[in-house]
Amino acid sequence: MVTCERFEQDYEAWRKGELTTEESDVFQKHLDTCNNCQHFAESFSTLRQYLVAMPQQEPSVRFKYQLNRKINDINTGDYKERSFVNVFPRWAAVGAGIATGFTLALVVIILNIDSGTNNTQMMADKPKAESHEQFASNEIPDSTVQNSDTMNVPESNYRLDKYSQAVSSEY
Amino acid sequence: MTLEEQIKKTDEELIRELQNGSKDAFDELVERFSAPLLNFIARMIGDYTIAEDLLQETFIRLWVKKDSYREIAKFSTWLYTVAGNLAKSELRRRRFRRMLPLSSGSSGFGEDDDRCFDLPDPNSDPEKDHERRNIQRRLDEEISKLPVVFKEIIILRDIQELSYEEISTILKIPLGTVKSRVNRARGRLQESLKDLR
Repeated sequence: MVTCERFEQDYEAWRKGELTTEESDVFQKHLDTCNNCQHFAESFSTLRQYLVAMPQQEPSVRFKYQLNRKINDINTGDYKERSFVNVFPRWAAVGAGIATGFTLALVVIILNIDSGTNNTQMMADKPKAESHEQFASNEIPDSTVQNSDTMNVPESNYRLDKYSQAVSSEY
Repeated sequence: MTLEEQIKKTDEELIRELQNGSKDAFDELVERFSAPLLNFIARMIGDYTIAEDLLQETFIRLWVKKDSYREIAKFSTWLYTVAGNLAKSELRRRRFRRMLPLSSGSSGFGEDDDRCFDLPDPNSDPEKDHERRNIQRRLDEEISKLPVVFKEIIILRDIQELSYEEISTILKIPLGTVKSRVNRARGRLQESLKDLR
């Protein structure tokens, strides 16, 4: 008894005649009766056919000349090992990468902390939202008045400004 | 020594002569392995020009480190290991730099490639030739899209036609893993080339 999995695994060996006669008979019987494996065998053969027929390319004409020149350079001691990039040790490249990443992360964190502090400061300075009723009743919270004073903004202008901001945010 | 005598020698005999300083033995090894190694490297990295540089590097390493070869493994597997390692380093370097995607436009095996694989047969059918070239290009593209582990194994087994044992030595993985990986790589290719049939 051969399973489809076993068939796919040993199909190549079977085709090459590497299995025993008994095993081969069992494989043949399975292939005759299993549609799935018939399809597998067909597509396998096509793929192998394409792969084996893949063109093989020869090195260019100058290849041997260049190789021989380098071999001569090695023998005479004139051969320069390789470029800096290739010679540059991998551990150094990895180290440099980590250091750069760490520095960038640090800069981003510092910038975030800095902008976070500014935002908190701005939030603290910002007056609380006022309702239409407050504006309508002309009651201005002390803190607002205080802030407008410190900013040297005329009270009426400031109130009008805050009102228009509140309306625009609401609609 | 005549050229005929040189050609009859096994790879292992030639490397022994090379270890004794024979440049002729080196030239013969270059002659034998240039084309298969070039195609192996080129299909691994998807670029013939760089593949030729890496092939040169492989032979330079052979010349410089010829004494490090010990006759415990076949010479061909030793050389394939060197070439494969260089190809994998190149792939790693590319991935690191993200310089060039492997399957960008032309895979390096396209029609615009001025290298000629073989002379055109005057009796061939141009339509069939065109179809064959298209299939080969498509196959190259699909191989280049495979993960490295599947790519190297399918090239070694189905294009270079090395034995499972040789592949096991080159890739330093157990025989069973080689077989299962070959099957999985073929399965992936079959899946992606469904429309060709």
